[in-house]
Amino acid sequence: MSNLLDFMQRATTGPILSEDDFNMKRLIPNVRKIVQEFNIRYTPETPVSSDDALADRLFDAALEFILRTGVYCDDTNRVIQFERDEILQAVANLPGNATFGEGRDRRVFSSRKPEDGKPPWFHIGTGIVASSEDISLSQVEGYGSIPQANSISIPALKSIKGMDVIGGSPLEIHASLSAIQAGRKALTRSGRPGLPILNLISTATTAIGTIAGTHPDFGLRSSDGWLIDFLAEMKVNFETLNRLAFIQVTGGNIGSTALPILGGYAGGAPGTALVMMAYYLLGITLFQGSYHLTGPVHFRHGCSTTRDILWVFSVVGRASSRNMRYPDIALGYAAAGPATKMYFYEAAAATLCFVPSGYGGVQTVHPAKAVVNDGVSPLEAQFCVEVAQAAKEMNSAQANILVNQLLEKYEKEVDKAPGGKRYQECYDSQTGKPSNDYLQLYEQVKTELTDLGIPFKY
Amino acid sequence: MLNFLDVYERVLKGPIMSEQDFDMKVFIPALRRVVKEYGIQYDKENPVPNDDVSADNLFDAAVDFLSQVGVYCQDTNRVIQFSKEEILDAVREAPGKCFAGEGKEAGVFRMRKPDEAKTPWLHVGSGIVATSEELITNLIEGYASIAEVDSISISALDSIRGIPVMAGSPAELYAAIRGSKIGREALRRAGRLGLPIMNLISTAAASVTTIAASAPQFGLRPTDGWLVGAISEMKIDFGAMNKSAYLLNWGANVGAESSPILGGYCGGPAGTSVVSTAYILMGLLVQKGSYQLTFPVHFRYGCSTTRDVLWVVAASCQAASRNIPMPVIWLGYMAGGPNTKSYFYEAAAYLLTAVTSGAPSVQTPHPAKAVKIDGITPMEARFGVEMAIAASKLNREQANKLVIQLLEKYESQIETASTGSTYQECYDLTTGKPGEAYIQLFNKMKEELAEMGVPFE
Repeated sequence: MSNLLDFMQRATTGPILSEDDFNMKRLIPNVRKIVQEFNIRYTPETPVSSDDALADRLFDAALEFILRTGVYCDDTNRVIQFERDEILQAVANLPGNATFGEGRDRRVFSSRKPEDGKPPWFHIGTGIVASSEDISLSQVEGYGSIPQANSISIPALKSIKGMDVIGGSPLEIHASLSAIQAGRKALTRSGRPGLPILNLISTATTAIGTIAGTHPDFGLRSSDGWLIDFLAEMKVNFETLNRLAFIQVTGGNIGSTALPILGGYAGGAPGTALVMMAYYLLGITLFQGSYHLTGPVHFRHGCSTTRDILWVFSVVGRASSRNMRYPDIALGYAAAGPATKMYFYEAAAATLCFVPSGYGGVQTVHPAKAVVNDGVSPLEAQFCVEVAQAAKEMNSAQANILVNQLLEKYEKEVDKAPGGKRYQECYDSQTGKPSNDYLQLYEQVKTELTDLGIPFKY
Repeated sequence: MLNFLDVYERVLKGPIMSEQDFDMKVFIPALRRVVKEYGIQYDKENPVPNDDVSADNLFDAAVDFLSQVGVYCQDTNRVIQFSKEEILDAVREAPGKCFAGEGKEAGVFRMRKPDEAKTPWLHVGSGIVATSEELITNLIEGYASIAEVDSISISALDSIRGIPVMAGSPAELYAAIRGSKIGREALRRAGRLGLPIMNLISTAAASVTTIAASAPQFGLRPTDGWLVGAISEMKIDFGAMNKSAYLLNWGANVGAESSPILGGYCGGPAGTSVVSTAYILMGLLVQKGSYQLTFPVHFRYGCSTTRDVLWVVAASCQAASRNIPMPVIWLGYMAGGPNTKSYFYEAAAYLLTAVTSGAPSVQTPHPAKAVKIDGITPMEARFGVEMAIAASKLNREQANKLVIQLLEKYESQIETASTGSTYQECYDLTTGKPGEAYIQLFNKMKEELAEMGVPFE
């Protein structure tokens, strides 16, 4: 098995070329060629694909794509190249599960298969920026109160003592510590101190913030999870690799993270699916991750609930879950914000797409493209859990029918989706309870979706 | 008291200017003015001056200078300003001691005054780059076998598994972790596991590496010491401030580091002495140091043993030790390398100057300007310890006479000083013992110095 020092050697001795050449002469031509060679075709009428043959072709295509393309290191201008055998060996050696959390909140996160009837891992919350520690505390306490929660994401903090957090500054270190301590405190308040935090460290945009915040005196445990991102597309840099090296040597869980961009270097839906699938294989080979967090994002709309993106989700979920046993979390971005009908439609469509496609875990669909500060509340998390529970009973064909109906309700509005409300506008910050208006909307949408055919448990 | 976040707020809100404007329009004119106003004058006849009034005057000048100039942040292009009252408050509130080490090696690094007969805190070793783990282990075992040692510096590694260490890369991170582990393991083998390592992290040029390799899993303890360097002159950046932020949150010892350059923006010895003293104030205010490491050097010669730099060391050391309760390690760079006569003359001159001027601590004088790879051995460390103990029995006046005699022996050869031997050339790598020729030179040099009047024990 190759380790990080082996890959570091390749990052310093591999073929040298400019970033532009990598993009234009390797990445883009390879995406185009391989999509054609392996016959990866987008079918708009099936946003939730049931095509196993396509899924298996996509897996093989992704392997070929990595062998021909490699991963570009921004800091050395060199390409890290891979061998077929080392990737296949990594696939064969996957344990199929990862253990997170402490005490009675310790759980085993296992990979799933398409339509296997097993509930997914419920990953709750977001890293959306919170404007104050109080709001962060209320949000996380609300997440911890959802009984199905297996793990959580904690918000990023915007400022400390009124000063905006600048990436790479000492304030980022202070803010990272504060965010973690607030997260742990909130989970203790909700009676689930052992719940793992799997989006570390949301407040830290730099390696220095992540590494500093990981000091064990500040509250993190190796049974939590640290997100290590690929750069779009097929790139890493020393920031990424430093984080990776540090978490590897301290024994923490690495969450390989990839959010490929549809409409960017990966091209359309087939190319994006190819790149997204490739990141799984790189996640286990280069990052040696315990889990994978993934979701494509639309270049133009900034969300992941358009028809083409849902198709990408479904074929990649099916391809990865049929061919490897890597616990993965599907992350969707809704265009609309909290306390809007449209958010619920989008979140339902995304979650209905994720679960039958075989994703091991599903995360709260992020409202308002995840860009509105304080723009998330526990009710969205609760909704996604309920839809996911209903979706585990369905196969992809059934989900496809429902998703098509939901798309009809919101597809044309994606460009002008409402930003919705901030936490403090639809929740009582003191009591941590949703407003009556929001509760009424929630029940009303659930009734509508039940009528549509979603079999909610309660 | 100004806490770290208060200082950081000034990093964001202080007056904005280009770095060049700070250097040319603020730093240099203010320094010239202060030198003139306070009548700071270099006395080349007396490299170790003996005038408490002048020392206190230099302290006043440094306070005034810092209040006029501030500290420039390279990442925000803003000046962190302090009023005289804030500077004097920081001086008044400074504890004047640093707790370092564990178990039977735990110690309190305290202040000394000029002419005080107390033995200084003996800091031994260097961060000079070494080419192999075996060599580093030998060096550290050698340092730790010196009974009087209070704390050590460990070498920097230049590669890991054959991959050269590149600053800020994962290879640096692996090497830094490995370097710390080797250090601790060598101390364990020497039977002195609790000795503090106070030059952390020598292998890490990037702050991200320092922070990563400081995770307690890798063997470092808050009672060790991390160096957080100022940038010449009177500047700081986010890299240094990030280190301080992390260490202060953990409760670990921060060692503010400074190296004023004679012949650079500081000008001559008078200006350098003001800046050298001001750095110790900056260490209290900005880096929030619990100790300081400082090494004035000559711009042209790259060493600290020219007559004018020795005077700067003496003057600013006296000013600081009489007025600023900050335990400072005074470090000198020698032009001569290991296993040369010049090294011993220079090291003796530097230590006589610093110790009698009230240095709370002195470090092994670094051979060959600290740039020769594998260019240090435990023999220089032993000499440094014996010389520092001997110097603590002398006063400034006595030291001055000896230093003048020593300068006569090496001063004219500074430019052509030999860089000496590498460890492998004068030590046995397997046994960790010095070669016979080096032992003879060591004994001969001690005899010569003893005849001059150095009171070795």
